[in-house]
Amino acid sequence: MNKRLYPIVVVALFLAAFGGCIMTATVIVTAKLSPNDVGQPIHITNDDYTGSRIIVDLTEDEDFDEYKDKIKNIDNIGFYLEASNPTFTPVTFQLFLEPDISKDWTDPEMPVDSGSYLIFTGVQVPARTQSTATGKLIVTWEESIQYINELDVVKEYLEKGEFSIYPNVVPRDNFNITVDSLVLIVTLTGEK
Amino acid sequence: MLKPVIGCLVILCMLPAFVQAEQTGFGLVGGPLFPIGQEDQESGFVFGMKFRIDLAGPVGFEPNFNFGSFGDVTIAGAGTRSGSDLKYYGLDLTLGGGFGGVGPKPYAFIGGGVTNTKREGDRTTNKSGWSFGGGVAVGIMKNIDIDIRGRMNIASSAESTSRKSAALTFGAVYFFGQK
Repeated sequence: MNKRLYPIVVVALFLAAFGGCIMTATVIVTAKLSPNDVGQPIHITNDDYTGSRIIVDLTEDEDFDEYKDKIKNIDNIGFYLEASNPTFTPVTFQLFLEPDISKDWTDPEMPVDSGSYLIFTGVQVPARTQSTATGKLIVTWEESIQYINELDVVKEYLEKGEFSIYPNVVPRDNFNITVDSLVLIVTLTGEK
Repeated sequence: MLKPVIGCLVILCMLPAFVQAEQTGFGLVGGPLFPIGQEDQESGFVFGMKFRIDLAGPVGFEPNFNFGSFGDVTIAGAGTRSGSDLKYYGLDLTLGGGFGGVGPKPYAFIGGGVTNTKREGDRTTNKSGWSFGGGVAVGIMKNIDIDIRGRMNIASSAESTSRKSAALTFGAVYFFGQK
């Protein structure tokens, strides 16, 4: 082969190999769910569940807005969570996803009874002790991934961009929880 | 599952050429690894080993094995996630670079292989990948080259997407046999 053809062969092989697949990018989209826009953390008790609804609107994120019509894959979903429990009873923390944002559950049994999706469960908010005012739970982004349920459901509604999330606990008959911080972290790949 | 097996078979098929080649090199390399278009990874390091085998004229090929990891990603107010660990088994076709001899020898390459990706919280995957790049082999002795190489990696990912990265490696190659 003529040596002058070598660079052309290399470029041709390159184009044949990579054509089309190079134009995707992976971005991280976050949504701060608690505290809310006015700096108030979500606070729920078994007697007062009003105000538990968190409407997630990912379109407020610049990256999501840019890629929302070109999402090829939701790579990963996680949360950062801080919750505190001022009672002497430990509780299991849960998050429910409700696709219909017009609903507004006012009782902690309603997300369960209505068939909202349980998307996060398995971590315990410890009870307070005699020496601490509250029991404190912190779940990091990396730790949270193992507690995600119904991943396909979450992905489906993430691609739509808008849904509701309800914090909840087990047992539901006697609790008092403050969600000091809750951040949704979505890793997605889209066409550039 | 099938792709790594095919990759290994391809490399095995090339083994007779190791024996018949007039000159064969073995090199160790390492250097920084940079994610491209991947917000969920930070810069890390990659290390590798390779054989360099004379094929015909300025053309050679390099079976290679590389391993490394991306750096941890931190999001303000949301914590940190560790980067992916990577293993790459590949075969590169090189143009230029020479086999032994003193002096600078620029070269280009293109190759393919299998990338094994492991990360806490994600499913471990084995995906086919492609790479290309170029570098300079600087012969400091008749049988020893210092190798400086830039490599662009493209590994296929879920739903027809791809994961891209670039590596800048430095290393040395020792040549066996006579040219």
